[in-house]
Amino acid sequence: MAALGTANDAVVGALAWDRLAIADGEFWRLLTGHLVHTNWTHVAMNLGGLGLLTIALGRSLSARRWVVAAVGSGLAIGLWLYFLTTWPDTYVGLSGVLHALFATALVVATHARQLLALILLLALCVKVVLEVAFNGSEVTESLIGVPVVTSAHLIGVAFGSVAGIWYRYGRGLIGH
Amino acid sequence: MQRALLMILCVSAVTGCTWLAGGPRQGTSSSLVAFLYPDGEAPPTQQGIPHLLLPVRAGIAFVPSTQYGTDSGLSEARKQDLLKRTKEAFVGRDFISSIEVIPETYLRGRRGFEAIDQIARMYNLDVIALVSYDQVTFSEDTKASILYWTIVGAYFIPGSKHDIQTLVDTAVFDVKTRKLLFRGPGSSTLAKTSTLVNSAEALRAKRDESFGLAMDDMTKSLNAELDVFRERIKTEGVATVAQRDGGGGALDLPLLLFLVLLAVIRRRLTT
Repeated sequence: MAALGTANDAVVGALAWDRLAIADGEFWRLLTGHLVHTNWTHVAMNLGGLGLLTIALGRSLSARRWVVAAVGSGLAIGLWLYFLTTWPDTYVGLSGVLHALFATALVVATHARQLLALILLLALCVKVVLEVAFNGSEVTESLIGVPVVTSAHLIGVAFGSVAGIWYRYGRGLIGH
Repeated sequence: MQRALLMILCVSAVTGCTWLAGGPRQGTSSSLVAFLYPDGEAPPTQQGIPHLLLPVRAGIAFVPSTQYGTDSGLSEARKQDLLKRTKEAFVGRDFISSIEVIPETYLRGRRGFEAIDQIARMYNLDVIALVSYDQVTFSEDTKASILYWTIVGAYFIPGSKHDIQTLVDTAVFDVKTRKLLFRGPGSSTLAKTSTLVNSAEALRAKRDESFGLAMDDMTKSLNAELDVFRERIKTEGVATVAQRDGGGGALDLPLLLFLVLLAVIRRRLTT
């Protein structure tokens, strides 16, 4: 599904997160922007990450919780980019959501492997902060053909951590 | 003996009139290498691959003359006009967002890439095109100049001949890596005869015209070189590019490797 838009520019144009189009009422872009990508390398990197995340931490959450965390983080990133940033004008890619899911799973995993999960969560936080501070990697940028929106990763981790805390310590309002 | 000396003096005075207008050979030039490496230092060998954010913000400027006090024959205003003409040829290309025409005076104070860095920060530039030039003029008297003796001939007989050769060369640099991206040369050769009294004025006009023609020639070749450079990005990877206005979310390679490690550990723990 994440590869949805790479084969057709019209599909990417219709689904990408686009500041002007969202202002014109195309609110689906807040979510669908995460599903389209700039090129096949971009798709491979993010789908590869999704696959690895599933293998490594897939069992930490129920399918329903994964979906809720993915949709919630996608929406949070989309809204945050729209209301609190002036750049980019357009955004595509799943990595913000992947960062959120990674953080969610790590927070939940503190239940079983507290120290390891905390160390990994801390490493993830340091990674996204450094990314924002140093504007991301030029190598990744040249691979995907657009600058990496590192702040989407940061917001993803923040939202994912909150979702993880909710799943871990909340009353389980959103499934079990 | 006195008559002979007088004759020699008179002949010298008349035939040397054109020379007196500035000498038989005049020239003006600006050197890109001398400007960028004023102390003779060698360019760094490892500069990395330029990474360009499209559309690029470009600047264009004349390299100041390295010979202090020499006159290029062009006023600052005329130089600005020529650069604007070149700029117009590139406006509208979808991968160029803006082209700033930078006054030569801004580059006179300092030399080297430090000066380029300053200008790039001031104008917010990604790349800068530096135009260096070399113009040589040869002035000589034709056989008709013998009529300058008549005084009236100095006003009406075009006995002075001027040859003007102009070469301009534009080198486009990536500001961040200081790497030469591509270059485009242009040249012009003009000849003009004039009367003695009109010699300086005619020469100045032709020098100006020659500069204009050389700049037009350079603009054409720079346009062609730009297309070649675009192809080289695709085929040879001489630079990497990304879109400036858009943004993407991509997992970087270290995180992917980390996830691979984590997945492997997880699989081992569960088996």
